[in-house]
Amino acid sequence: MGKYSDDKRKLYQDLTNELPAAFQFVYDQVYSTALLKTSKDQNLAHDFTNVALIILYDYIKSNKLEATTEKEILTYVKRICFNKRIDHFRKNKNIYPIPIGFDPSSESPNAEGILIKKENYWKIHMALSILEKEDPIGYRIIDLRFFKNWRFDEIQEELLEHYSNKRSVMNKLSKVMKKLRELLNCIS
Amino acid sequence: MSEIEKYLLDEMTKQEAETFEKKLAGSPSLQRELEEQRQLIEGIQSVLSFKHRILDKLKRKTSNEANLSDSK
Repeated sequence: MGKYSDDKRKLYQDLTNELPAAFQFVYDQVYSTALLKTSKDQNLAHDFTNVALIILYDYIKSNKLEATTEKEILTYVKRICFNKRIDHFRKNKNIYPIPIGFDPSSESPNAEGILIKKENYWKIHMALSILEKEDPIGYRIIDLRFFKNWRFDEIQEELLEHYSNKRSVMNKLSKVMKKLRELLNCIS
Repeated sequence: MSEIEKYLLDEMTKQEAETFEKKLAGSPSLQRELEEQRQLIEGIQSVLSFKHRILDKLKRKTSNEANLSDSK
């Protein structure tokens, strides 16, 4: 850390403090699949880590905390990520045991389906980021409907200047979902 | 809005949902399409939840630091 200025050092310390929340989420998701120590698990953890990094970096940029370069932040954060990942596996080896005789390839189609679905999270995050920039209203509808669980009439009231009735909001959501599917195909 | 979307977003009447479920039972391709859209919606929910959790935490931290700075 000697080569970094005090400002950068403080920023890195702040990031370090915030990372456990992101990592808790990553490992919750990985372990909830109950499929451990496979290459897919490692890729999955890697994907979630990358999503966490991008969100953190976006936040730094949007709040004008540009005390350093993208490369420097990512290099530092990735190092923390790597160490924390190793620590977590080491400490939790006995908490999350691999079921005896467990073979992912012979598991039910559902379990495999869940894993495949979760691997798409990185792509979904990318598609949503593109949507947020290209179609802020469409993104807002997605956020209100799927994150806040608002009803369509509530969304229409919130976006009254854009939509005069509930049906037009529903149609917009349908178009946005189609756009997201197209984006996901492009990202593949 | 498609029938699948209405069904997944709970925007069908009970009767419409029952009719759709009968149609669904006889169509493997419709079942696949439904499952794909269900997975996409669940993925969006998880990603947004993750994003909001991290951003809220970071915003609270920034706000606390700003308050501390003002009070000095």
